[in-house]
Amino acid sequence: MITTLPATRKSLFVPEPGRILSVEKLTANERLFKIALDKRSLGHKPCQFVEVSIAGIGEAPISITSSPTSDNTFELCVRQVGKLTGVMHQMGPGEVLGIRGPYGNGFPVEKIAGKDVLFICGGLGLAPLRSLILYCLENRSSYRRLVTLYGTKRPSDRLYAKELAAWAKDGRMELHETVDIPEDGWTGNTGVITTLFNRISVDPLETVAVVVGPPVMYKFAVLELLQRGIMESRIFMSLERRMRCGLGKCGHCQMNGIYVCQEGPVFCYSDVKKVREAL
Amino acid sequence: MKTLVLSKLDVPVLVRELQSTARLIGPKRKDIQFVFDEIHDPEELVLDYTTTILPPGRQLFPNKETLLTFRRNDVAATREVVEAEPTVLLGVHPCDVQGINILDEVFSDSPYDANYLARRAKTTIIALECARPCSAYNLCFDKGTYRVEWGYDLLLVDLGDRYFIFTRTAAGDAMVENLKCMKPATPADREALGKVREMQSASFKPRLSGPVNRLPSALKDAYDDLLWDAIGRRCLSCQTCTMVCPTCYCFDVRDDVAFDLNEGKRCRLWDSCQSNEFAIVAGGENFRPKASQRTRHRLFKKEVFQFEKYGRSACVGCGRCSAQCVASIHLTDMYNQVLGG
Repeated sequence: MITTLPATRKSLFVPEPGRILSVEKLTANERLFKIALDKRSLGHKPCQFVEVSIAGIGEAPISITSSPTSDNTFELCVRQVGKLTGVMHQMGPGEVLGIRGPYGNGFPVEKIAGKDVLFICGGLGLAPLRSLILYCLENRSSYRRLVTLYGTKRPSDRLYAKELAAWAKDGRMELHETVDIPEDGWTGNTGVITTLFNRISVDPLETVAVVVGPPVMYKFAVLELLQRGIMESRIFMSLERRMRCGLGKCGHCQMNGIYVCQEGPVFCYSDVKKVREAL
Repeated sequence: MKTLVLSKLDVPVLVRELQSTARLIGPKRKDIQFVFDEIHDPEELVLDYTTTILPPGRQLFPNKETLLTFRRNDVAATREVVEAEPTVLLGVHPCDVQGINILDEVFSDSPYDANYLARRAKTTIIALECARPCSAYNLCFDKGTYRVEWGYDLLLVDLGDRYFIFTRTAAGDAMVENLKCMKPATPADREALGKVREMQSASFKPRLSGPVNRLPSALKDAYDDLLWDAIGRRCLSCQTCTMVCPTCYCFDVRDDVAFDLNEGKRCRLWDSCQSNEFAIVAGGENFRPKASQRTRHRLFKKEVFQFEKYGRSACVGCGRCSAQCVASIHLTDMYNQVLGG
């Protein structure tokens, strides 16, 4: 049946003003934008995303990198890869972006309470995953061990370099890093992210794993996790697709029959293992 | 439901009356083909048309529509735009009515699409039954869409010198109240209708080699078949199939900036899952880089994904994708391949 439009409704496509409070250069190519909405707090869950709009340029989906328990501001970590992100990188404090969202299902935080949580992230995957890592650190007593495996191409690509060390301080979290291509001064591990698995011990019955990284990473990471006896239903992942509208209509993010922008981006491995276009 | 008749001599009267309250869209000639377009003169209307290049549902989901207006550097000045005006779609074939029913369902799904629904709410649909198949490519008998039970306000059936008319909705009832050119149907009209429908039923034949309700499972079983690679070798990814489909609704959103480089519009345009760029993300990864994968996705979206979500197929069997494919890739052939001989 046809829906009758309600008398009062929120427009789906009109963005809200989001004022840039600060911009921090994280790497040569990535910047951290702190943004405040004019009229409300964003009210997001970890691993959700927003559509960032610049009039005359267009829109792009950007994952929220800050914890939901922070104040009425939120943060976006933006790599300069296209037209909109190129313009964003020219912008500074006081300038205003358009924001739609938050979109996506977000991370089911209730499913990891009381567990060991193993975060596995590659490259820019740390941007969405940071929202969950910060959430867990803020609610540290709700979790047992927190372990992060982080891999980047080069040491200079590491996001949140200062923060990473702070997270690992006082044993609040175990952190293991690796790079594909070492640069001068790098004393850490060299190799793909799966090489870090041998450095950690895993309690298979009590561990939940969260995987976020480039498309190629998922299969190999899941393989390592299954090899260590972690339950399929306790392996979560956030999948990147082209979320053009965020409303489950435009079709760009479709992964077989699933609209990732609405039903994802967070999926449980046991739910998507048979979705052929997923991994 | 009311039953009436309209003499064919009175069709111009009907056209004039419909034009007085709304924008009237109906089938017109375009060279040797037909299109749905605004009817300015009753002479332009061709009700005995075969099929149109684009389906009439595209009037509800136009190839470019404004979603909002903006001023650069002033996000607060952004305004929503909902373009909708009273419209009558006249002479819509049953398969295309079903196509609109499917769009209604998709755009009514949460979060509902205000732009489509506002336009739909202002649209009256006058359907027209087909006497015979319109091309060699229809699957309307197999799909059960050569007749339609709902989704229209009025339904016309050609009785030769006159049309038999059913009303279906309250809006349809109200409409015929005001249309003086229509007369109540008599027993003789009903008898004529019965004969026409008998001939109609006899003229439609199945074209699929197996039962249509096996398509979802047969396609799923065929996911890894070489068929898709074979089709992919022929497919040019020209996107015609998705442009002419009554149930395709994928779109892109683009900004148009005015010459003053300040004001502008954000517009929605049709997009196609058959284009190579469709599923590319910012990092460069393409999740459907092969034409074979894209063709498979198109068929699965029609027969598997929407079946799983809504319990129905999203192919109405109109035959446009096959008839207009420049590489002669025919839906019937692909369906018969997966259904088996």
